[in-house]
Amino acid sequence: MNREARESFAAFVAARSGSLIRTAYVLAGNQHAAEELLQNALAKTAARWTRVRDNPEGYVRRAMYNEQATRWRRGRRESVVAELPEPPATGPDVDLRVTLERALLALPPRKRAVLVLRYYEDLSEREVAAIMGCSVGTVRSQAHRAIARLRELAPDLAADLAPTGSRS
Amino acid sequence: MTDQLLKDALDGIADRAEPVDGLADRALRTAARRRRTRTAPVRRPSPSPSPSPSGSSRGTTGRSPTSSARPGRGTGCRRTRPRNGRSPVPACATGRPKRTSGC
Repeated sequence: MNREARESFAAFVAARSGSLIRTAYVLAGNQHAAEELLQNALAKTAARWTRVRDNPEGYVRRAMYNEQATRWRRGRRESVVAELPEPPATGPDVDLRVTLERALLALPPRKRAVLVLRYYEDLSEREVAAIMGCSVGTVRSQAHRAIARLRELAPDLAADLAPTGSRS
Repeated sequence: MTDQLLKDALDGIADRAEPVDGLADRALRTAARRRRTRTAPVRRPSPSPSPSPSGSSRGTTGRSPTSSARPGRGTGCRRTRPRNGRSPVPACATGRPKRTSGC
């Protein structure tokens, strides 16, 4: 990579790393895993910078989702535990949201990734399917199961977590 | 309701992320290291005999030179695992029907 390419890559990372680390955190569930996830995705992007510089952010995000899916396939998924992880901070007015956040972090990574793509990234089911390399039906069923699991993990929110409509 | 609830909760999780410094430098270093690893020349064993004490051209385990003359040696077939104390005999040397071609 020549100097100009290095500088443009560094400028891209400086401009977008704040948003990318947030997405990585939602996917991975903790700071350390999020940094590792983003680091690997950025290394892949740097290796192909001349080809992906037209839309580098899309490439980084896709690399993160693929990496997360690979971890899941390799069995490095987090186990679903009976006791939900402790939240780092709580307040009296955010109990319900904190309960839901804890439940989301207790979801297996693939289910969480579907919800992240659908609700955090606000992508359509078709776009989620393209990124995750599966069918629209699989995305739909994964999202349905993820929300069903959230209802089990957060019974207080069961009434609020209704099955979602499709948006292909 | 569900959409907004999930979006708020995911935003709340994302808010816990802390900014990271030096990501670009680390990524460039990692990419360069991977590229070096990928393009590094593969070290192949020398075709000339090595001066090992056993005299084996492979120079690995001190196996006697005659071991390479056993049936099946060097023909690509797998030796059967020794069972009940019997010596390992390749399937191609037992007279049994072969499962695969190549012996």
